Amino acid sequence: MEYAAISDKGIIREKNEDCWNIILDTNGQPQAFIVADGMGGHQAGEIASKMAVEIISNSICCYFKKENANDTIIEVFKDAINRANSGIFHYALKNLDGNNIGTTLTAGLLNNGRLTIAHIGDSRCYLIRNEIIEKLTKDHSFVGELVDKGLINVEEAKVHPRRNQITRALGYEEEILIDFHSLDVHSKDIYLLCTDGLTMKHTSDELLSMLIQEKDLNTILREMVALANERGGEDNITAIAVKA
Amino acid sequence: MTGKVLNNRYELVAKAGCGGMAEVYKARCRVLKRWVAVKILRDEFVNDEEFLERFEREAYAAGSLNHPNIVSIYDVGRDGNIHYIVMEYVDGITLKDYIRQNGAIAWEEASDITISILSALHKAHRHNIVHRDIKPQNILITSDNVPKVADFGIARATSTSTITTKVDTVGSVHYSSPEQARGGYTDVQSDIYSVGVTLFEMLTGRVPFDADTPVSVALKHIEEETPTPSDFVSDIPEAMDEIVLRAMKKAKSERYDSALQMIADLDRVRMGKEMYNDSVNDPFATRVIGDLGDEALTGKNSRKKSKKSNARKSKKATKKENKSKSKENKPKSRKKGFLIAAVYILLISVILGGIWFVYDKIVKDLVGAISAPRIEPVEVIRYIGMPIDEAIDDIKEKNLPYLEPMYEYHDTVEKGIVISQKPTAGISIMPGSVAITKVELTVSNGPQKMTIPEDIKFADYLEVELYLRDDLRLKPKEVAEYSDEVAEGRVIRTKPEMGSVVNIGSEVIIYRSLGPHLMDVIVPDLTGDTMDEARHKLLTEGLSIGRIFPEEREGYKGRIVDQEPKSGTAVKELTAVNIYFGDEQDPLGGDGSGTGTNTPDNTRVTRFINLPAQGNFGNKIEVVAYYTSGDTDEEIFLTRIELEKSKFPHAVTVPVSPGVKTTLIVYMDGEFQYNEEIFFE
Repeated sequence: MEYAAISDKGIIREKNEDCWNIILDTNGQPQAFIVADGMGGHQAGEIASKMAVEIISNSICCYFKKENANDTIIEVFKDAINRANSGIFHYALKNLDGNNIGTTLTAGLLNNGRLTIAHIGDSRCYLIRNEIIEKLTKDHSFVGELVDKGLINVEEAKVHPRRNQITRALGYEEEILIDFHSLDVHSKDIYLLCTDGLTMKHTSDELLSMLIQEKDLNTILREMVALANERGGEDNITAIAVKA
Repeated sequence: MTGKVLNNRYELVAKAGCGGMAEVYKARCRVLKRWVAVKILRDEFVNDEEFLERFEREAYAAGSLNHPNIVSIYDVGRDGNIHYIVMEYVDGITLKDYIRQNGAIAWEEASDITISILSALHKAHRHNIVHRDIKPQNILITSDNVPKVADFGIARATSTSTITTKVDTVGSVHYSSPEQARGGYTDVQSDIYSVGVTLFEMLTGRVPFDADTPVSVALKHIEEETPTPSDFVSDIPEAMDEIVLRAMKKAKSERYDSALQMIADLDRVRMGKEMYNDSVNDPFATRVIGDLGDEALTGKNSRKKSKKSNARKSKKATKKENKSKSKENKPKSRKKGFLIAAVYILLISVILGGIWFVYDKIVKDLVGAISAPRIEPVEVIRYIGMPIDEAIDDIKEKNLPYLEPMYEYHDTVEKGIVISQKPTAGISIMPGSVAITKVELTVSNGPQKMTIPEDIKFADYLEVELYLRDDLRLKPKEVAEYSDEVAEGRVIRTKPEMGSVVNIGSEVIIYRSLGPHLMDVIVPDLTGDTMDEARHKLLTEGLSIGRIFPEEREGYKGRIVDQEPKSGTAVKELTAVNIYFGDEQDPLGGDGSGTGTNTPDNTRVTRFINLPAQGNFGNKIEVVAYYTSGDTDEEIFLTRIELEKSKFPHAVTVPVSPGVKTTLIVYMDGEFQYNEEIFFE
């Protein structure tokens, strides 16, 4: 499997509050991918995304070490994410005067030829198969839900005053609702996990045409980020691409 | 952040509230010694440059709005990374809390509050400022029950992500219009919609659309039919229902065109109610309620009149309805044969003619005799801008009831001109002294007078300037001037002088002291003089006595052998002149003033001050020389002189003691140049 990742703070922000990780198995093959886009005042956004990625990565690694086959992959995922949720929530309660912080989370776990995606917030996971791009995740954002309901279109969503309001975030409340999605991995599938810094600046068709180029994934991701920055670069940009 | 002082001026005393974008503190302005509210932008926005720029720009724009129902903005600023807006401190609670505490508000009061909100919006809209976030949380009710709208035109769209899982964290979604929910173009009518929702909540104690998530609430605003307020609280007049429903129309074009239009409708309902309540037997009351009914019928959402409003109807109105019914019947009869029709028409004409005759000749007179003459409501014209005499003449001519005009100071409107009126122009009211709604005019008293305080002499100039500008609303102008009496930076006098009475907004010159004006004087020649003679010479020239050498001598006997600066040097007044006495054994030494012993070990040597080759100097160079004696570090002043380049090397005489190391230290144009060590055996 070929894979690549990139994270850039953009050209406006002072800090990169995005965080990502790729977990490899003992053979050096990618087993899990995580992107998280943290938010919250007092520079605490980066704490949220970092904690999410660390806690989830650790939980998943522990699971694979134990090879505890009794749990289904979704249970493993759920457990890891719930730990992260309560970790962040209690951290904010204790250290940030109860100022809520939170993070988006889009994570993929490869197991027995299947990819399971866990998702909270407005980061995204795309599947590119047979030169067709499909968004596998639903945006948990004010505008995302309006688009789903057919009240506004994708382009209107990008200029909506509430375009940056997300309606679900990891670590923001004591309980968290997680979206799961599972699919069989086909050879030559490309999976793209990314934060909204990328998707605000590229249409899905643009993402498709860039990803199906005959170039290595690293180069493609670099070009995507460069173009997003050319178009304003207001937000942090993070992307992981995996080719089956 | 409590306890922090922003820009050394605003002392944050207590947190007063927080919103999605900012936290609000009660604060004390140290300069103007008053309470203010300081709104501090949340951290997560301070890196969003575009947003900050808009935030400041719009705060300034809103700051120009001056209206009794708008929370004034005093200042916009930043202290380091803290961005803030300073606003009028309002002692009161938000309308949201007011509703929470009282539940549904009586419709009369709700209507009055809404009129105040609309009147604030009208002002803003005329300045092309759309509020975009009207909601009870942004409306303050002062302790005197005056509604004040806060947060005018402050940018809300950010590129910073925020989380809004719960509905109440973004309260505004309950009040945003369908077009705002869609993210479409917002304008004056979007504010009207939000006012409609706010009025709905005041009337019923609940919001019209509620759901678990912000998106579901937004959806309802877009798709669902607005519920009718009187379905929740029964005694809301139908006309109020109509007003709420019209303000909350999904299509902008179906809403009120302007805040003023909505005020007019609310005013009319208010008037009807008052007349009905206060004078059930008032002959005019019927007219007004009849009008109201018509108004309700012409509304787009016309519906059957409720039993209640029918019950209110007078006989006259019922008669009118019957009349129109008979007109409706006429075409039906035409369907019959022409002949029959003709007969009917003839018959009906005769009957109608008869009725008319009877009515016109008998009933009308009779009614006229029994009750008051027929009186029609009269439209109130625009009095604003009119001289009060003309306005009163017009009011009298139309027999409109009016209250004694109120006089208020006004910065720009001439004395005697009407500045505001109630009801608004275009609204009709009943004439006659018994009518309830009276014309209320406010007349300009011309610019307000202000006395320039008398106690500002010697006060700090900056404080006085701010006090005059912000508190007394005068236009201070600074003029700097020398003063022997007043210390630098303080106020000497004003023009017009302190204690004078001036118009508000007029210019007041404040003279700021530059301190005493020092003249240039030429240092007199003191050599050969006694101490007394020298003292006299120096003091008459306005110079002062500097150090006297040799030091540690009790009293000064003998005559002066040298001085610094040298005679003939031009110096500023008050410059200290150092004096050197010779030995008592000196041939020059005579019978000087003072007594005491002189030590014989004081000697002076001549040294040359050279211009350093590598220095970058202008043509005139200020040379200052000091010296130290022995191992002490104390630098003793020797001379200060301005020299042209051509005058180098310059000779100076340095006091030395045999066997003690003396160091000459040379500064030029304020910078250290070199040391020279001198040994004198």
